[in-house]
Amino acid sequence: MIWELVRIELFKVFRKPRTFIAFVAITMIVALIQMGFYVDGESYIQFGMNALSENFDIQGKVLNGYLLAYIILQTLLVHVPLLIALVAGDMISGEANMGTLRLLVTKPVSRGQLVSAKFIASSVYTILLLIWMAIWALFVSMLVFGTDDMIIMKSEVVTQVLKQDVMWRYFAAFGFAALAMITVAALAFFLSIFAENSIGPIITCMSIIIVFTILNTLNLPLFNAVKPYLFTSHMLGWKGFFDVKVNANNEQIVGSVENLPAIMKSAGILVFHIVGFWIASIIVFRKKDIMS
Amino acid sequence: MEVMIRVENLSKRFGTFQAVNNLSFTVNQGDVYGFLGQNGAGKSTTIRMLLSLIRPDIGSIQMLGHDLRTHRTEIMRSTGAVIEKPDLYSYLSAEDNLRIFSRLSGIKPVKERIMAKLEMVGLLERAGSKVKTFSQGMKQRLAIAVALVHDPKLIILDEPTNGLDPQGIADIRKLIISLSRDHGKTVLVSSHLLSEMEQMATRMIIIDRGEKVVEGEMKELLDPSLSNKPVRSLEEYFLSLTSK
Repeated sequence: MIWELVRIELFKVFRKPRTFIAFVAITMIVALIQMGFYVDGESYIQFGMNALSENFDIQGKVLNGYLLAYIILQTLLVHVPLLIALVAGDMISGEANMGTLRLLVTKPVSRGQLVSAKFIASSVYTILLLIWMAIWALFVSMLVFGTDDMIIMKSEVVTQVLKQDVMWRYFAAFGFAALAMITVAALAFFLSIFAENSIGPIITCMSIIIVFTILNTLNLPLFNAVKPYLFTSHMLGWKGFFDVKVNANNEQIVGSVENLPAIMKSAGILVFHIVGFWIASIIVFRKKDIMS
Repeated sequence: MEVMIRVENLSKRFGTFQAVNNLSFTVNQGDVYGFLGQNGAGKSTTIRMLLSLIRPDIGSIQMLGHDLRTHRTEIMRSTGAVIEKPDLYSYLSAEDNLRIFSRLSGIKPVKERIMAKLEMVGLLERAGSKVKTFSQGMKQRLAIAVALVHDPKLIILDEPTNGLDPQGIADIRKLIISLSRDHGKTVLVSSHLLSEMEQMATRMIIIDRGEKVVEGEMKELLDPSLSNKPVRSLEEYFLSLTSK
């Protein structure tokens, strides 16, 4: 029965015009970034490479599809939570607002099944959004800008990832990003149980993310104690897949990740949040009086 | 005669407001059971408890021979409902709405069955139209089709004639009578339209401030020879009991 319910929920989600706002927004933003880099990208990259050029002989195509996908991911994943919350925050509250929640609850399915189906549907939506983003940010960038080794400049280090070692890292990074975004979806979904219109859960979800992100950036002892437990501290863990291990000769080890345990720990904390919000949603909804 | 609903000592309080107080009543198979009361008397709260939308504080509800707390799923499989406003998925067509609620009721959404229900409520020609283009009356009729789509034994209708024109009200009245008389369904219906209720209900209850005032056969309650009051109509009877 649960899969039948998930099918029904997905049918409803993809019949709502608001569902496609996120897909259109991502397409437009990615296309704009790609257009910008197509026109002015070389000078932009050259500016960043100036310091490196003094010490290294850099050959090949630095501005390639892989680097652009990294830049897009880094820029976009900060804003995608809003697009996720737009749908996940509407899953229960939207039904309450429409008045259909009371009709749903009178059907011969348990409230736990109903909540689980809706949660799975919002997770599927999130994953589809990430796949859409991968198609545009990675594959279209590869088509337009070509491929080569990937050079990532961070504040203190420069990482070079060999061309043949990049693709699997992107699959892993998008997988991790999906986990991070499902955490956002789970939070928005949980909040939607308490509301009778979707504005409240969407704004509250974004406010929580903003507050947690601010706490992350403040280096104060009071906040440092809680930082490891905030899901926002782990949402950018996907970047870890682009840190490559080196051997004693300072040569890259193809297929390696510098700090895999840290990535796995972050993934574990995100999964813990997802399961926590899911179970909490079921418990709250089972006890809730439907007054809408 | 099989008892379809048996409510005993039901109470529900919201904060300091006692919405339903020690309410007991029985609905038998084949009844068109009128559920009457002033605004705020506790009708909708009681109906929501029957449909497990809200939990009673005290009391028991037996429906279709089962306890609602322990057999909710089985009971809801054989129950259809329209609850106050006829809110459906406005961005979907009438047919899609029926398909969804058919699946949710555990019934395969067979086209013929769906079209038959739409025809029953006079919406066959608008099967493919989005619900947001419907008038209030059309939405009300579609909500009734949704309540009937899985062929339930028990139908609970909370204000089913809200927003309908006189013709629509007459059509719903005929439909309710037909559901009981021709198809053996049991219908619990709440309405403010006392003249309509008088024409279709076989038994009724009147509640006031969450408590039962009277329950019984419609004919007997309105029979002047059996009453110590010179009752002429349900409206007079209702007002004599509730407008204190």
